[in-house]
Order: sequence, then structure tokens, then C-alpha cells
Amino acid sequence: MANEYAVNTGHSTGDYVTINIGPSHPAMHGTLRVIAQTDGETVVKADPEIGYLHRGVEKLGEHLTYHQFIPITDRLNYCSAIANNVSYEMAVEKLMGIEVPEKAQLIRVIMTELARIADHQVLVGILGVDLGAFTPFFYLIIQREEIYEIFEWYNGARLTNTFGRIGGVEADLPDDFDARWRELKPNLLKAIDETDKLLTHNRIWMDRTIGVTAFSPEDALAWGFTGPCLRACGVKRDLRKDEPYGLYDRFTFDVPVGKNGDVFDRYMIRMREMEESIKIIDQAYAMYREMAPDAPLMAKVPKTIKPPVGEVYHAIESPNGELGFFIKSDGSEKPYRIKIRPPCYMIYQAFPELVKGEMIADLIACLSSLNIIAGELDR
Amino acid sequence: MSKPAVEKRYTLSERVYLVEILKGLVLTWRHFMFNFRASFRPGPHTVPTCWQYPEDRREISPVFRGEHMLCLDEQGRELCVGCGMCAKTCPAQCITVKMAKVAEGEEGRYAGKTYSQGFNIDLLRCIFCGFCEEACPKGAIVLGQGYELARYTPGECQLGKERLLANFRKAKEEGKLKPKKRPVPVAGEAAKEAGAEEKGAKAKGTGPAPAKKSSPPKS
Repeated sequence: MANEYAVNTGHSTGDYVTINIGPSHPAMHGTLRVIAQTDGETVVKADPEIGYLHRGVEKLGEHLTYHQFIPITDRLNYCSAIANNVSYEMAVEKLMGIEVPEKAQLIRVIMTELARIADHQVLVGILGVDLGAFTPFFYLIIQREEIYEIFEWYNGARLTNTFGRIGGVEADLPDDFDARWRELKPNLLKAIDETDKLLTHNRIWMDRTIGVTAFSPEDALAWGFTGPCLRACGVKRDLRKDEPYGLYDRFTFDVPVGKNGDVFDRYMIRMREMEESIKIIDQAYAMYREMAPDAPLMAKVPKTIKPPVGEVYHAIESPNGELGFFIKSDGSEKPYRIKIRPPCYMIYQAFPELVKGEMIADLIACLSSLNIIAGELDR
Repeated sequence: MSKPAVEKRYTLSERVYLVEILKGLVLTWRHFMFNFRASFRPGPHTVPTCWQYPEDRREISPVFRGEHMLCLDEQGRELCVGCGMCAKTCPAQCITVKMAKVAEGEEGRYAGKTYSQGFNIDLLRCIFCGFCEEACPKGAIVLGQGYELARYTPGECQLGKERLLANFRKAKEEGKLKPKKRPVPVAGEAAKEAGAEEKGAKAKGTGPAPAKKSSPPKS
């Protein structure tokens, strides 16, 4: 595929210019490469090249024990490592039929939603930066730092959290979580509100995002969209609501739905979702405080994890969409096969379709709004 | 595959364009003035500024997973018995341990009947997951607060036993030892037995609440 662009003559057929964006480009998220054929400033054809961050995570999983794979899952979507950890642990627990204690599940919900907020903050901030609005990025990233501090005080890491263990979580919430959350919550809401004020009704922002790379719900479903990108197209699907896992059936929250599936809708969905996540954390934390201080945090799991022979697929609603782990066990202490279903991978397939006929600058905006994380995409 | 047509409907204030821009400018100006006034307040970090590293260091979490250390007990004896559980559980396989019997007359140096003759951590491979800490039955290996891990040569990245013990002594001097682990309660049994039985149950306690840092006021 890529060989036809190996020599860029500058004038291919029909006076098109082929330009190469990435893999190391300031506007590219991680090591993504797009080879775009342009007619003037319009993209005629965009070829994404993937695999620059391929680390063989799935193969690595076959050589590590079930517990040892948890730190590896941190490195998939590094903006919200905790969601990956929880997804993987839940898959193994499903395979072994472990009942996770309620308190541990509440801590998981709190941490996953914090990770979701952090992920969306990065996305909205970077989307602004890519379109030339730098200020909201600062307002959001300052609050993200506070979230990362909660993570750091919880188990000692900021980015690659290695959160949770198979059968529960490794620690109780820190004693100062209460104070931190009470300080963080109004600041978060304020940051979201300020970003909203700066961007949403700004004419430049609207012109750059509304109607750009719009997508119909039928196409989105056909391409396998999940998560915020699918909900932006107007399909109300959220695994937390539709296939409740963990304790999500106990919380009341809305699922924001867009209309056009364009960049603006994807941005708005994320803004609303941050507010919903704050609601969920509030409810989960209220439930958590009602639990006994010595309530169990770990289910009784054997020392060496040897699931029965069989296979399992479990997916959770990660900040990006449906993040699933397919695990095949042959009864030994190492998985026979681990297959990861990253939401980015399915969304990125539609990228050439999305940007066909758009401007080069909109290609960057589209890429930002899809939240393509190379670590998750290439695995 | 055709893209759906999106009609842009702007309200008047959006169409005029300057109204919203001015609103945004007022907001950023308010931020600026707040920070400007706050910058005259005494004390560090009254405004969200960068940490002026290395003069100015942020507080690190007491349970931070940084550079490793090998702990000594109160009598100054080495806790490590060289069982190799940490090396076995390490996902990155960066620990090598060699066990040896404690010789006659050496009992004062080691807490157990055996000790680790050789103990090496390859920092270039370590991913700081903290599993060694959880696997250790004696609480000997602990990830400390050291985060300045730059070295000049690969050889310096091999943390030998002397270096690990020196890390512990330094942390003890500075009073930066990790708080005692709180055992994680396990469903269906007492927490005490859980600690001895299950790897997963050996979790870091979060210890006493750290003093809240004087966080900058978020405007």
C-alpha cells in the first residue's frame, strides 16, 4: 500500500500532491502516520499507516502470568490506564467466577470515572490546541494534575497506575481522598464551565468544528464505532447503561447523545460526560462512606491464578469506547491467548472515509476528536 | 457513503462573533488579574506556576513507587532472606537474588536464617509496578520516593545490595520511610490470615494521611 508513495514526485495523477503527515509530527497524536493525497487543500485520499508503536502486547500476555499482565495493560491507553486495568481484571474474574466485594467495586468505579475525566480533559484540551485555542488546555490540565495526585496518593503512581488486583483492589482509598475530592469537584466543574464559555459559542470554534467530518449513525455502526464517537452520531449506546457491569446499574446518570457525529458533537459529548462522571463519583463515594471501614477489598483468590480451561470476553465502557479483553485459558498459570479489542482501532478504520473531501486542517481536527491513542491502536 | 449534511444554525450573538470573543477575553483577563494579585501574596505557589525544580520540589506521595531499597529492622539487621519471591513475581524480570545460609557469627547482621548473598535490580528493565513489594513476605524490598533515576552509564543502573541498603539509610535519615502497610481485608476471612496466605492480599496500606500541601488556589 505505502510503496506507491515511496517516491513523492509532487505531481501524481490528476495534479494531486501527496503529503506525508507523521509519524513524528507535532499535530499527530503519538506515532501515527497519515499519507494524504491532496487536491489543493482538499484531502482526496488519506491512508493511515499504523504500527509505529507496536510492542507486541498480546504476545507478551502469553508469556506472563495473569497478575503480571496488569502493568502491561497500563500501557495501552496511557491517558486512562485505570480503565484498562479494570477491564482486564474483570475479564479474568469473569473467567474464574470471582465475586468482587462491593467496596472494591465502588473504589473501581470512583477511580475509573476519575480516569475518564482525565482522559476527556486531555482530549478536549488537545483538540483546542490543535485548532489554535490554547487557553482551555491550561484550565483543564491544571485540574488533571489534581486527579493524578489522587492516583499518586492512592497507590504511588501517576500515569501507569497498575490499579487493582484480580479479585479486588490493592488498597483502600487514602484518608485524604475526602478532602481532595471536595476540593477538586468544584474546580473541575469550574474548569469545564470555563472551557465551555471559551469554546462552545465561539464563532471560530463553531466554524471549525460544526459539520466537519459528520458521520451518519448507520455508517458509524457499520464501521464499529463505540463510545463517545458513536454517541455523537446519535446512537444511544453506553455499556454502563446497556450491559451494566460492576455496580453501574445502581447509579443514576445520563448518557449524552449527539446528532451529527461531527467534531463539535464529539467535543460536546465529552464535555457532558465529564459532568456525568462527577455525578457518578459523588454517588459512588456516598455509597463508599456507608460501608464498614473493614469491609473486604479482596475476594478470596488462590495464590497462583489458574483459571479453568475456557475463554471469555469482557468489555467495559472505557473513555474511548468499548474496551474488551478476550482471554483464552488452557488451565495453566499463563493465558493461552489474550486479544484486546481497543476502541481506537475500529474508529481509526473509518478515518479515510471521515476525512475524504475535507480540508487538511480538518483532518487534524478529526484525528484529535476521535481520540486516537497510538498505544492502544498499535498495541 | 455520503456524509450527512449539517446545517449551521447560529444565534445572533454567535453570528456577531465579537460578543463571544469578548466574553472569552473577560474570562481570561479575570484569570490573569486573579493570578497577578495572588502573585504578591507571601508563600510559595500562590498561583499555578511551574515548580522551579530543582530548588523547589513538590511533595511526593508517601506510597510513591520510586527507587527501591532493602530495609533493615530496628536492630539494623537485614530483613531480606533471599527467598526470591520478588524475582519470581517481577513482570519485567529485573531482579536477581542469590540465597545463602547465614554463617556462624554473622547472626547479628541478618534477621533470618538465610540471607541474600547477591541482590541486583536492573533499573533499565524495572517498570515500577510495586509487585516485588507486595510479594515480599518479610517486607524487605520497598519502593521508595527516589525519582531522580538518571545515570551516566548502564552499569550505574544496576542497583546492587550496597546501593539498596544505602537508599534505605538515606530514606530513614530524611524520615521518608513508607508508612506501615495496612492489610487489605479479604472476603470471608480475617485480615491477619489473608496477609500470610495471598499474594494479592498483601497490599500497601495508605498509612496516615499526608499533610495536605499548600495547593495553589485555582482560579
